[in-house]
Amino acid sequence: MTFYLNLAVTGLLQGLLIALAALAVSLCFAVARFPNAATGDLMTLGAYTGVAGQRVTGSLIAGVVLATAAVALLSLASYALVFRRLIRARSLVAPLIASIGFAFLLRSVLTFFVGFDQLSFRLPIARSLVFGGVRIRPSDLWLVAVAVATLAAVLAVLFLTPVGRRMRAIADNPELARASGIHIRPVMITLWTLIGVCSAIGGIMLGLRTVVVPEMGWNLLLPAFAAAVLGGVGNPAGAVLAGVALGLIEALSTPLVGFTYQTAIAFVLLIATLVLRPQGLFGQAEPVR
Amino acid sequence: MLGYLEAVGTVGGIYALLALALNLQYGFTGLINFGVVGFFAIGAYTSALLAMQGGPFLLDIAAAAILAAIFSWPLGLICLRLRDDYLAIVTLAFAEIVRTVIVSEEWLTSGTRGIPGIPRPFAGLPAGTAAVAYLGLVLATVVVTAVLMRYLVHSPFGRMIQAIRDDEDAVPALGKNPASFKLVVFSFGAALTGIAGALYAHYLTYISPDQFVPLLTFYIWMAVIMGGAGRLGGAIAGAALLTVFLEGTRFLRDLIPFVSEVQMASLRLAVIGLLLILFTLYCPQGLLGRRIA
Amino acid sequence: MSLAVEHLHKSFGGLRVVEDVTFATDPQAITGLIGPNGAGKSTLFALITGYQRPDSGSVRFGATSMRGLSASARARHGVARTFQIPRPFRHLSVRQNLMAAGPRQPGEHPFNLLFRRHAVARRERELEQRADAMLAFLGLEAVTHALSGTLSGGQLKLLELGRALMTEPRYILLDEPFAGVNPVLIEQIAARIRTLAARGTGFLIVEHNLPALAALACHLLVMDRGRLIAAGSPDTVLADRAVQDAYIGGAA
Repeated sequence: MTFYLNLAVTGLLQGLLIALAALAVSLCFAVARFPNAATGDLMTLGAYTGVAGQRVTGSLIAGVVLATAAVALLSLASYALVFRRLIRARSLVAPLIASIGFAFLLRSVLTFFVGFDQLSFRLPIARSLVFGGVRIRPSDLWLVAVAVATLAAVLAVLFLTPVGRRMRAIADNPELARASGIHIRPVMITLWTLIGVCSAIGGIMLGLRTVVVPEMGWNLLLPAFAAAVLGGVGNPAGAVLAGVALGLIEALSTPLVGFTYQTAIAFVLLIATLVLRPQGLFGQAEPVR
Repeated sequence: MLGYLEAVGTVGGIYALLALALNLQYGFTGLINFGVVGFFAIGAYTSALLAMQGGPFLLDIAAAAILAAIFSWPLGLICLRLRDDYLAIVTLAFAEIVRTVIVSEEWLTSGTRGIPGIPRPFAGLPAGTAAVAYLGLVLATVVVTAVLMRYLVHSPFGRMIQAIRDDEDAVPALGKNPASFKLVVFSFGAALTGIAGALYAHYLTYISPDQFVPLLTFYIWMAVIMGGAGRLGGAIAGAALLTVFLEGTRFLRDLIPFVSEVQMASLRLAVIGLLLILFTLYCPQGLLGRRIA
Repeated sequence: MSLAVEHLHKSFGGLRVVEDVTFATDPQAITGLIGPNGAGKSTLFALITGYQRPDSGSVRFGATSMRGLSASARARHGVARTFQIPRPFRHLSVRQNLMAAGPRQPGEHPFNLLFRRHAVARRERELEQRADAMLAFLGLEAVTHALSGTLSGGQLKLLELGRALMTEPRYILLDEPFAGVNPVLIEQIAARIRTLAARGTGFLIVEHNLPALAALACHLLVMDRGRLIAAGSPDTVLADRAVQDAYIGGAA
């Protein structure tokens, strides 16, 4: 029993991580209407910047703040320089391909200067807390807190602020929103900043739990996309729930499936969703063809 | 020198086959296939494993094509009635799963150790002639495929797939169902990609999972976009450009000694990323394409 | 072929876009559908042609219920439609656009490309001839081989019509067929519609060009805010007070 509880703890952490990435993906899916393949490498960059920030300032928190700012700026730059001109009503291929290009660009600049060596954050050594056989590291508690806070903050912006309301209006019906005169720019600035923040925190979280390598973010793309689809395209809150669920399912099925096939689970769930309920658990049905 | 040109020609020809397949799927039908390397790997490993068991060359190639097509069928059935981007995500994931399976199922694929000693056809011939013969085989395949593509594209079938690419939602109003057309194109393209994989395996005589990474998929995407998606010559032109680019960067390394291997790999990736961005922004029709206002 | 629509309902979110719409048209009847923008006419078209599924209600063509039939199945049953904003296949030529609409071309199946080449070639020639005749009728011969993406708005409207006619339909839903088309051509198209209707093809036409529509249609339906508010001969309907009220501010 405690074995499964420990797995569940791992699963919750993994799930929150996927949820952060899925939220970034889902926001872009909903408002800008394309799957953003650069999300993974934004996360990677967040982790690297975080490590660099910690090395330079000695403080992990400073590293996190630096990373978040840097990735948010990069995300905004990607919109201003690339995606702004490519997002069109009916074609999503162009921004999708460009996002692949941007992902490659980010990763290659990183590896050009930093190489492929594995880096890691400096964490204070602390004893795990034990609750009846379940081991929890103190750093994990902080991770949960930060992840939940970030998710809550982003969702709060989306659902409780005027700019978030406008963002959701654009997501629901872009033509109508444009016709009704909603100012696109502040919404887009908010959107891409939020995407950057989620990616940065997600990347740092991943780096704290594992190690910092160039492929780390790209490897999280599939679970993030699967969660976004499972939660319902156009439903960021659904993507978060789906992400957490996916993390739990992946962890709890490790004894059955083995560690290497964990990503296969995301794939299987994705396929199952597309077969049984393409609009996702919480999405709206698309018009009939 | 001749040996080098033969090598470049053979690998370039294989890229051309991959680009022709992707051009049919994306350029002419609008399918976003991000799983090219997955079908490439299935073709390569199927052919290699059969060959190691003593299977004749033609059988190996045929099996590669058939197996790749078989794997593409359920993916197509599920995704092609849905939004375009779902196919992209699913095929990307599929390619990763293929690679994971290849790495994990060592009893079948020897995992990361790879499969060495894949028999080459024309083994009886002297080495120089054998290389030329293989190059001839690959180029002949490219020519036959290109001719087949031309015939297909100019046929009523080709008319319908281009209609689907241009405006899929208008097609049902004509009494025709886009999904069945898309499925045929997807599977045919997958089979072709499988054949390319088989030719690749028999040429290199050694395959391992490291050779089947997502980057290869996007090399081919770059080739198709640069050459001109939806243009018959575009795939071949793009493959030629890709080959020049890859070989060119290899030479560059010799000229600039202070750049390490790792940095050269990074530069390559950066150029590919940049080209993908720049082409989608400023030249989406490719170098051979026509722009419609 | 006749069309019968019964108690059709469609809501998006909380908004009732089509509310309890019921009407029937006779074969050989040309029915017009008018109403201010946002009245739900396009959604009604989508429901009838299978592009959207209704929340409730039924659609029947002739004696056949359309329940559960996809858009392409309905089109194969003989129901053609045009789109309000033309949807050409931009990278295909005008003639290829028309030929793509031609039914029963075995060459659309790869198997037949290999094994039934004569049948394919024969049908291609037939479709070419029909397409050329259509181009002549629509006055588009000059742009036969031009890429349809380069056509003007009015030309695209004509191409939409031509494509729908190429499917050999028994019922045609036209969405603003006269918009951007010159008056002489409007009259030629109207004459063609009358001929086809006399031979049994049903028509449901959405138009804002009321004079042209009133001259063509024998029966007029009026929609406003999702509901059918009037039905009858053009003279009766256009004199109806409710219709005039609804149309204040709309196109006339």
